[in-house]
Amino acid sequence: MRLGFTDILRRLSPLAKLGLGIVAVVFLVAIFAPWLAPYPLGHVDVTHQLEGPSMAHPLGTDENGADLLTQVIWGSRVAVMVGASVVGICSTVGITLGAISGYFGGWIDEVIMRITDMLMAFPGILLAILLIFITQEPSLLAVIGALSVTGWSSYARLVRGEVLSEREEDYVEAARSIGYKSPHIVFREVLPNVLAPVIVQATFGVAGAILAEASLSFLGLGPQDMPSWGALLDQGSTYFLLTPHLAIFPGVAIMITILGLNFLGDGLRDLLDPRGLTRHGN
Amino acid sequence: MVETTEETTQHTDSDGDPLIRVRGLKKHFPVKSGILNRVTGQVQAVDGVTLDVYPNETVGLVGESGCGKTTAGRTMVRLTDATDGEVFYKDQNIFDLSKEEMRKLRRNMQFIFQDPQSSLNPRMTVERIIGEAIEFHGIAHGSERRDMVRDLLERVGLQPDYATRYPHEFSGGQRQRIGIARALALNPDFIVCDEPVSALDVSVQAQVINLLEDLQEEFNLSFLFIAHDLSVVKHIADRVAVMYLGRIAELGPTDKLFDDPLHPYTQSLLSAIPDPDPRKKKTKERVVLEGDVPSPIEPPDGCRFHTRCPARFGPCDSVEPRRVEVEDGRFVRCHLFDPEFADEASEANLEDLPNPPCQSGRPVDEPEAADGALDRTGDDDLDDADIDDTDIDDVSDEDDAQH
Repeated sequence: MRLGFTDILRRLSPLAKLGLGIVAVVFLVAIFAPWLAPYPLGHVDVTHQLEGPSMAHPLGTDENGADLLTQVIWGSRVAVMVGASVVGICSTVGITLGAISGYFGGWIDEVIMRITDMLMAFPGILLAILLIFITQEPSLLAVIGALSVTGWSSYARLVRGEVLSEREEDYVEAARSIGYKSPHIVFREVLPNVLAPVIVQATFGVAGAILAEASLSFLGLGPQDMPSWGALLDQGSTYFLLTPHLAIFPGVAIMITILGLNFLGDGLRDLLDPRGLTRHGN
Repeated sequence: MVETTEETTQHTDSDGDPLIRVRGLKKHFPVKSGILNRVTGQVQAVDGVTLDVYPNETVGLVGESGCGKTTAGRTMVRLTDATDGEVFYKDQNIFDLSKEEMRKLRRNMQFIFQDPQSSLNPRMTVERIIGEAIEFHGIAHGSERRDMVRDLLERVGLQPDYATRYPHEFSGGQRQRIGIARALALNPDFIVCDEPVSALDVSVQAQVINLLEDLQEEFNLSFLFIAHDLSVVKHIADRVAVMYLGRIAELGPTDKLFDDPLHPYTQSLLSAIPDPDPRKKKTKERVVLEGDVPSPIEPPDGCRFHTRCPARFGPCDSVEPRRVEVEDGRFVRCHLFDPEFADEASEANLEDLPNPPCQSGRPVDEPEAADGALDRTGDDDLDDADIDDTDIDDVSDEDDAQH
């Protein structure tokens, strides 16, 4: 069964459409952050520190007097950048290695699968902490890199399994009987047929990456030069009893984004991957 | 049990040289087991198949499922490498070719798949499915290619504007036509048809069979037609090879093989064709085989069929039958027809057989070569032999007469 993009949009459940809407809003906010934010980033108003929500500062201000809404809006950029890059890198690497592994089999399959075993046996976030610790310089790139190093393995597993079953189809044999070489068959003939569950997994993967970035930032290992939701949460927690909104609003931003992605992922899975083979993961 | 696979060029017949010559073709698949993943056995899927396909000829390959028909067909166009043996396209052994040379040769040898559902890539339009092959072999590009695809679709009885559609938009019969168009796109001489109609409705089967016959005439094609449906083979094939457990039990012109099957296995196969005439008394004796097909991992010693053969006698469970030419162009691998065992065979009480052996052939091999390749699979008088469209009744009439 082949579904076009518009078919998928039309058939999504209402909840999944809501999820798609949330994701779209977050994405747009991230792109247009400089225009949407009420104050420039870095603007502080020392006369209004640790204030609750007001007309001037809809989400209040932090201990330096910086507008929280501005920071939350800019924080969406980090979330989107981390989510998109980590999933982009992980899925590209994972799809390529998984397809090679599944199609060719043999020792190459053995090597790739044992590496994924190793990576999956490790708690990803722990390895990411270790890697950032080693680089000695927490930054956006370090976060993306650290999460990508571990994240590709689940894509490789998934694609390998799909390719394993798909390569038994006669059209693969037909392509060989025409004379095509293996790379063409793997990437042009087989891959398009295994992408549906990968798309589902990637949706959940974005959510996983955003959460992981927030966790790293909360631990002080996130990007230092831009506001991230995790870092805001961390700062807010210091004054949690005094001004709970400082922690609550970034937390809500994270929650809504993750919820939207999960709604979308569930809807896509129902449509594209009815067997429910995929699991939540990054 | 070593098949000699020497190439012989003894062809005195008027049909010219065969297009495809298969000599002692073997394909074994290793069976691995245990924690060490050691090879503990070999599935002898194809174990010494020798066969010729002449230009413009259709050779039917029949047998039960699991007897190695499909593997034989796939190996003959080198979709998988052979364990042993040779396949010659004209004078070229295809297993000697480099990958690149083989790629070029694939233009001439195409394959039609059994399952039209799985043989067309669901993510590609018909235009791409057919056109990619044309493009790949540099036959045509751009608008020329598009015209070719549309022309091919028309030839297989589809509308040219179907080119922009996806496979799931078609019925099974239409999809098989697309598969045929894809095979034709490269203008091959030889096509292996792997049960091309067994996944289709009976009414559609006839259309596709007729299409294949028309195309054969139009494009001068040779077919290896793999099937388990005997009536389809009887209709389309010029010669028929009956396979049992990786070997060809009997090979001969279609009408003769159906009228007077020699090998006990062929006899039992043909007796299983139901009689379409309800008024006829059930005089036709069915040879019901006992047991199952033995495992191709450990095929029986001697004749592979002896475990189930109603006519087995002395040498059957120990001596491998030679290939015997009973009459011109009719080959049988059965001791009943081997002059060496003629006395033993007549002593054995074989009168109960529905079709007792009356002839004795001559072994095709030199006496010292215990089990060798054949010099030819001959169908010398194929054109002279009047291949009427014998229908199923003929078979039962024959049986009626004998009982």
